[in-house]
Amino acid sequence: MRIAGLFRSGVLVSAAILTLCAGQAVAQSAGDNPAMYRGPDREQRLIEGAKKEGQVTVYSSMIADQALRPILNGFEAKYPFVKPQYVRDDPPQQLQKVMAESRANRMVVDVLESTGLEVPVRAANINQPFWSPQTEAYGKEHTDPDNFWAPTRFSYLGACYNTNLVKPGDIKSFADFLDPKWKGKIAWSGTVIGAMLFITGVRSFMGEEKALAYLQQLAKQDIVSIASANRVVVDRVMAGEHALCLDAFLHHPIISARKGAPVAPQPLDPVLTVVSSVMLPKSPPHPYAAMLFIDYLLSKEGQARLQGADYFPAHPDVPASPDLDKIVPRKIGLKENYISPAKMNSDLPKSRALYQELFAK
Amino acid sequence: MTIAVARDGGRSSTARYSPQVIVLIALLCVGVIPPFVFLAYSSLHELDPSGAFGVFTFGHFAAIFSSRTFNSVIVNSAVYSLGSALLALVIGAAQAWLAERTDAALRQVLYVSSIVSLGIPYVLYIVAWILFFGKAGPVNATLQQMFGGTEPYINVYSLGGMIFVEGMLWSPLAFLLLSPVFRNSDASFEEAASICGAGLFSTLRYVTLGMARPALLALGLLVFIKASESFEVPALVGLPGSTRVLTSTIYQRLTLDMPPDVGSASAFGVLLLVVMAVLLQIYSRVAAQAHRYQTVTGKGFRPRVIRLGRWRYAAGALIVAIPFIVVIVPLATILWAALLPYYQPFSLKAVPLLGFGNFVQVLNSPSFRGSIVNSLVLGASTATLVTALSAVAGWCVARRVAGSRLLDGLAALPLVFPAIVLGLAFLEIFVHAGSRLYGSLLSLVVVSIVAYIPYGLRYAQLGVIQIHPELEEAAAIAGARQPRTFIRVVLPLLIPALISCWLFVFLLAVRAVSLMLLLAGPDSQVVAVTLFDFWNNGQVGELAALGCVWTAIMTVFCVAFLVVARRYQLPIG
Repeated sequence: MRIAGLFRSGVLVSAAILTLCAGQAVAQSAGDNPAMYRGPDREQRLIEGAKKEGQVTVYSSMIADQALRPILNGFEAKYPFVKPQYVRDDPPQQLQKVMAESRANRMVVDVLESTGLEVPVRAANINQPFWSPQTEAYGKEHTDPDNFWAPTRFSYLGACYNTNLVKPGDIKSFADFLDPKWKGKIAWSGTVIGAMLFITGVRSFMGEEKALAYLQQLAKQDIVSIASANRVVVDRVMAGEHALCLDAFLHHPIISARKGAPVAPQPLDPVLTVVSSVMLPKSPPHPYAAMLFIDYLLSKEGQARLQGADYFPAHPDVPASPDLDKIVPRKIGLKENYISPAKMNSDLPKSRALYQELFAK
Repeated sequence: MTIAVARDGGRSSTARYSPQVIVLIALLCVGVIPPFVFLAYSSLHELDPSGAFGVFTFGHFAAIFSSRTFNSVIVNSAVYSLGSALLALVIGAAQAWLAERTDAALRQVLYVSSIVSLGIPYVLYIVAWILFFGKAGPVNATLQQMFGGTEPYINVYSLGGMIFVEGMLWSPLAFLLLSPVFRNSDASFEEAASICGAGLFSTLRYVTLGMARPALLALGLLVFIKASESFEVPALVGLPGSTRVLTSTIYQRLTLDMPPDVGSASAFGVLLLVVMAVLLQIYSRVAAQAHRYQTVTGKGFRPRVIRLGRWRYAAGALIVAIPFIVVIVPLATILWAALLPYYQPFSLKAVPLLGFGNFVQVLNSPSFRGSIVNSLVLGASTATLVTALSAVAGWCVARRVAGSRLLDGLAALPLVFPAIVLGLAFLEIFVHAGSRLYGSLLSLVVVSIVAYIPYGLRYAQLGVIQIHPELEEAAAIAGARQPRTFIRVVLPLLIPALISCWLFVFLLAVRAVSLMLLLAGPDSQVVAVTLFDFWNNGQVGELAALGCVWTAIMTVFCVAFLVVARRYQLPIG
């Protein structure tokens, strides 16, 4: 406790000094909360409020130049009186930032867009429920019954292989990875969205007992764990460092193959499916502009911008770009193994334990 | 009066701290103590769901020691850190000696090459080596062609690979730190040695290297500590081959939690602090005899250039060979990747695919263009402030004025902070400090100063150690006050060291990634973070192109700086 006090006073002393350097903090604009407002004049009210606020700050994990900027540009073109700004981060850093802001009661973020943060953000009491007329069009199975998040894009995960090292058809199912000829040639990403999610997916559709037996067999293949994002593993497969990857975002090999890279996706039935989502903090500095942006992001217009960026729009009426359709499960007759944010989170501890026991020796 | 303090101030506790020392100590306390308390506190607490500190625990320490493979991990860590430090020292010292003390041909190449290599973004430098020595890389392909077989001959994902890459990463630092030391070393000792019949190599061994001992030791210590706490090379090079060191096991734990629990990283930082305290104790014994190593005296010093004679060409070959390994190979790999639409190993087949598409893409990237100015401002202001602080602090520490021990300890403390912990600590501080500071470029400068003051101080201190106090005594006798003596006598002699210091801190500050990830806001995006995003998004071609462009900008900037500095230095030298 004494150390806690010491730290807190240390922080406060430095904070005080630094505040003096930086000048007075900007006062936050107060007003009534538009998050759940459903009246017919909703859009008008949001626009009026946003005009006064003049700004919106978006934290997102989307690729900045391809996706995030085009979306923000589209938003700014439609509502020129709101100046959008953004910070792009990976989910772990996003979470650390919003947690720190929330605990200091000094939110900078207006809108949070990310993957896998739904449960931890809500558990930390950071966000609030919201309603958007756009969500009516979205399927019930991919939305949050409590309205704490709304889906923005899907991701489909599966295998990919180097076409110089693996013949098409060599790998078609989960069982094919157990062939001794692949020993030492398979890689995956040793992260929450990588190996842990793969394990959760396998447990989810095989059941615990069969999944354990499968994973024990898989562990004998000396899977190479790469301590980076899934995309990096695909790059290593392309370079020929590894022949196969177990946990690729399936659109990544397609994007690379388009440029001629020797890599191909291999969806595994059932296809591991996860959702990314948008969230609204409890006291965003610009609540009206925040809701206006969320409406835009979920609208067909906003979702269409994802299409151009090679993401899978969550809006049911907005298709992905044509050459990505060959991995959308419902288009190729495969089942979806949907791991909801809640499941991803509740299954993580056991998947992590299995990973550490079997693969991280 | 000043001199009396300087002579015995180190031991006497009754000596009063001078105002300069008090100001320096206060400044360092503000910057260093809060993150240190954060480090200590987070090493002993669990995180609760809101990311705040929860229950007290020894678990983070226990987790480090209880690992099944703890013994092998400890051995690996020691071998890795020691090996990297030795490799960096050998390469750096060889370069510094050749560049500063000999008439070897092409000496200037060494300065340019070490600056270029420091300009190469960190992630890219490591990836370049992985691609070069990897299973599908040109080295293994050539060996397979020569000797047959399909299995790789060289496994870069090994302890040897890790030592090689980390040692390469630090060799420019070693060179830049050692070159002022060799430059100012008094030639009369070497002349005496050769009069006594010592040959080139025994003079080198017993005299030149002997006199540089405090510098070599300080530098070895620095690289050892930094290698011990580095995450990147252990994670990127070590983990794929299951070669584990302490930091990679911690890194793995970090990637398995949401939010990332920095507890074990902090615990590791605390343990490292203990190791560092012991090492610094050993070092201070050597430094305590620093007067033995003073070579810039009132006698007028004149560094002699050693004529290599028939070795001149051998040295020239070495001068070409070292930059070839340290810079050209990784840079060529990066350039190759930048010119390809997607990465593939070197082959003639791929040549028709080469093009400038990635460069066009990158030069049109608004993220990149938006972050260039921020990075330059960040680097230049950090370097200037760190150099100024270090010049004064370095003199105080080297002259052992009252309070110098405290000053030295405080300034060395940031060395043990893993960058991710330091970033998180400052995130907490800035968030509390106000929304103007949080996410601002100023906040990045503050953090960089704290992170890089230990390097600045080493530079300045090593510079001062070489200057004999008799010069200051002479000034004092002539009636000059301390500040005036410092500005008119010490500073001009210190300038070569300070120039290297500025340059190095500049390059470190623009290169830092893990430190900036949590702190950069909408208006303070920096190039290193943009590069990191490219890497994470798998845009290897664009990343490589961006790396080339950025390396070129850094090189032009640094060479321009050196040219100006050299010119400014002329009347002094």
